[in-house]
Amino acid sequence: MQQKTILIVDDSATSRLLFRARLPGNSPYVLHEADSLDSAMEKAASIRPEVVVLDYNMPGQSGVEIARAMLKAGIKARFVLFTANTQKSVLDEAAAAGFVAVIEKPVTSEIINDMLEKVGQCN
Amino acid sequence: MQLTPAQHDALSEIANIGASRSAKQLSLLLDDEIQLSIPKVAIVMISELPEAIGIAVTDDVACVYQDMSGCLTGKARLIFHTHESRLLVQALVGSVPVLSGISMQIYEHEAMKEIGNIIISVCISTMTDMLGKETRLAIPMYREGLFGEIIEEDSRHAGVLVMKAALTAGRRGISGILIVTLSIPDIMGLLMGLDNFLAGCAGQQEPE
Repeated sequence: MQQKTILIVDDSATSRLLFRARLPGNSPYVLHEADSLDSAMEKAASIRPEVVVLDYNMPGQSGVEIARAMLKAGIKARFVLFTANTQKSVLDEAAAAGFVAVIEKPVTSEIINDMLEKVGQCN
Repeated sequence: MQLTPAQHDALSEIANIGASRSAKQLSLLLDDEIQLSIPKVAIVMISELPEAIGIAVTDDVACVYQDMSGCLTGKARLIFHTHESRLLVQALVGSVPVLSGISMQIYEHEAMKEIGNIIISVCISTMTDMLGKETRLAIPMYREGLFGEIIEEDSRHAGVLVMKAALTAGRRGISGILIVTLSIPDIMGLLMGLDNFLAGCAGQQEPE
């Protein structure tokens, strides 16, 4: 079975570590990491991820801005917002930018599992 | 007090989650969008606190504070410059008819305690939940005065965890600083708890 990839983009090493630790053990996804717009664009162009999980509140560009940059660069992936800031304005912004799901911090294995199931059902 | 890069990153992420959750609760309370900056964190001695947070001991501040007990024993304080606290209350009060001087003051204090309670309890509970611990918070209290007088009661040997974030409610920019005054043994316990938490997460990772 071809391996699928997730790219997580978060400036916090702790947050990326937590996500990795809680990715279900039997997940068919391989996890890659990036901590900024530049590293995210480079990784995404290289690995062509199926799913990109983006933190919202980051120095420089927000996760939504990074997703827009990736779409403009022709990176076709399903975008998931990863944040504790689930205000309506943020959710609306993510929906308008084409995000398929929002998962709340701090993340659990159950939340990641539900997200991967939902993402897998998206066309 | 020097944090390791991993400890600083973990505390920053905790502060980010706490501040973000607070922003959401505040947005519901104020019926307005709340924007927030990337929180800055540091651990300093009480004597270094004014310089660390950019508030002079002679500055007029508004403070909501709650005593803590349990895994963290000390005091959590949310500090605003007095003029900024008025802006926050105005955002909450909105078009409420003007009350008399004393009634308005009581109303303002109650509003500040409500806002402060949200921010303090969300931030502290985020921290202790992630560490798998429990901390009890007493009822929120409000105080205005010189910053130096407010922190005067703290032991000179206490350490302070500082989480500084700027909240913008609508078009009003407000900077609130959460300071958590702890004994040195409690700070060392907190840092050890962080180290254990991070080591536990690293141990759960699938080998590459």
